[in-house]
Amino acid sequence: MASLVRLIEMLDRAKEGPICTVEDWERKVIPQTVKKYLKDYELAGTFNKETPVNQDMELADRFFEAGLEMAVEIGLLCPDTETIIRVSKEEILKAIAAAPSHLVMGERREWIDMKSRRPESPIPPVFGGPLCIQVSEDLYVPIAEGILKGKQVRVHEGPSIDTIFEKPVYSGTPFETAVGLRENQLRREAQWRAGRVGIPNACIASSTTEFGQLGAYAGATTPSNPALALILHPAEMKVGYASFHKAIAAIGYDGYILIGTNSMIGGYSGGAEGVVLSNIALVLLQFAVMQADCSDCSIYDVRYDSTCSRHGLWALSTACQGLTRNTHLLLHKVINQSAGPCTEEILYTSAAGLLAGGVSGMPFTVGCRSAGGRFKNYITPAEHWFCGAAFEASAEVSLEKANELVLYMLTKYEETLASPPKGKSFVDCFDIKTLTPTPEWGNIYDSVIADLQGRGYPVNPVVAP
Amino acid sequence: MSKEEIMRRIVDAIIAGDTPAVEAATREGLDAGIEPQDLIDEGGAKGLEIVGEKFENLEMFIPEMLIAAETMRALNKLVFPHLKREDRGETVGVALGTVAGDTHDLGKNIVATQLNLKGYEIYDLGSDVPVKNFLECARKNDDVKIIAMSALMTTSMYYQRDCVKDLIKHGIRDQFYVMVGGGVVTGDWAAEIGADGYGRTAVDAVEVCNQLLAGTAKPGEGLIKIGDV
Repeated sequence: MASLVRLIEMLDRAKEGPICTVEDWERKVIPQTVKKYLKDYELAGTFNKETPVNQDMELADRFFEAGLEMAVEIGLLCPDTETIIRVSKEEILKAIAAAPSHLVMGERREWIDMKSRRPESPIPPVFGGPLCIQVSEDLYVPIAEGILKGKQVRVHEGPSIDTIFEKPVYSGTPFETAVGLRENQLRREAQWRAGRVGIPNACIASSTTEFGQLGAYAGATTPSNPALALILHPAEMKVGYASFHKAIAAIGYDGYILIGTNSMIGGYSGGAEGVVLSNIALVLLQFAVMQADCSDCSIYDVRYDSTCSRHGLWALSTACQGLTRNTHLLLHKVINQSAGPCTEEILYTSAAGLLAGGVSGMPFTVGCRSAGGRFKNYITPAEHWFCGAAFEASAEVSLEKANELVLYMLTKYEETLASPPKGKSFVDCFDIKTLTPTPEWGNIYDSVIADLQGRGYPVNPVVAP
Repeated sequence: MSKEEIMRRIVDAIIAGDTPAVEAATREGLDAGIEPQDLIDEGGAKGLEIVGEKFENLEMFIPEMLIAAETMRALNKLVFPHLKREDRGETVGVALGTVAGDTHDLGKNIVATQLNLKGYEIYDLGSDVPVKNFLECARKNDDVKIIAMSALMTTSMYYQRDCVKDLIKHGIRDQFYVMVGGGVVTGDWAAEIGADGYGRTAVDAVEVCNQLLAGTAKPGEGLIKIGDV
């Protein structure tokens, strides 16, 4: 359990630390610090387009060493106070040592022990789903029920609703507090219908502010099944008051802190190498500043709004390898698919991202970002069944084989990454009564699985009748 | 110094984000009698084009793009007084921000950079911006003709609709074009709320602004969608 005393110390630093404007942070501090450490550790130009799954472990270790030093120098910016929260190297190392190497979640048949992993670990990683993709209120239960029929979906997070009793949910208002309560009701109904009562929960999906958590968290977490509190500040290398609110509430209910921000290729940290560096620093700071139980620092390529570009996959695998070879920290990174359901692209991008992360030691992820999360109701259970199986199967693949497979998968979607196919909505490619895919979607699903199995990637979805 | 050499210095200075160098080269160009419009088109704009290509190839990143945009503004400031009135054009202001309850900022910053590169005056209101702040900014600054709102969450994009409603309530809907974008925003949503423009990417956003200003439709009379799936 995280310490409130320690968190208050960090909150105090967010008020009393060195000041820095958001503009200076983004334009000067992040890029200059990243450049400095890339140069000092000779990391610039190390991206290799032929190894989207990095094969050079010495390089991953060097990124880790540089990321640790960078974390000490840079800290995290609190945009609410425009103040930098800094921690010493000793504080970071102590936090790493004290962080959990496994998390016990769920009850009875749904009990899981999510364990720290290393590259090529035979321990199967944990897949949770779905992400916070928006769906209509009346479709929440069938979609979530269908997804939870996939036995390899072991943590329940989304989807999200943006209306409550047909009224729009406005961010930062009591509507969000109310939607927290409502989401819990729908969540329980879906779990009961799917036969997954007791599954671990990550919440809340329908709100990113502290108000949603105010409504949801107390009802979603229990002493015997502590929920993962979703705490995401979406701006790079920052942590705001909203994140502190949520972390404090998670401590109060003795829940788990899942916290982070994203790292953007093309953004303030620069290219793929800069993002590996800043992502490692960012992860370490989540444990040192916010006492994460599990970090949530994903990698995007801003050109495609996805992790699944060649640069994105290389950055994902290298950052994971650096962290998992040198610490026992629990990591969570979202893959960020952009194609929609009923396309082969969503399955190949999922497989590429999940394999690159899984074989590099990532122990946990939640997905799938169906259709990039851009279109309401463009989400089906099938891609989640596939993702759960693909992520678990990554434990049976070597780094070398994973690279070979990912290079093949890239041939299936790389050309359309800039304009991914939207696919079809739930009602257009799924039977709402039987919760099975239409023949068209079922054929795509089966053929991609057969293709990957034939190439030595043992993807075997297990779905309840 | 030849015209080509001066142009090359301007291009290099824009790429490097070197404001003193661009100012020096521009002054020399004006003193040498080079057409002011050429300094913009063959110098500054050419440099910005290369910056855009380098961003696509991951050779330059958002911070450098922001600095390049500021360097271009320095060039414009020197050249504009020398342009004929009809060539000078009108600087158009854009009130830009991520809407309330939403702290995503990168997409909004990329849009700001792209618009800035194309000569728009950006009033960057930041992220988590209440609707009233967009209206205040638009009313306070005479050059603002466009309100541009980004939203990355469905629970925040409702504020885009509120902004359109508030413009109508205050009787000023016909004074400002409303453009929307962001991860969850679609062309259908833009149509539903009565926005004037929707762009999927930052480059699309620039094109939407250009088309809105070049068109004959007044604010509230139509919708231009670019990049919608």
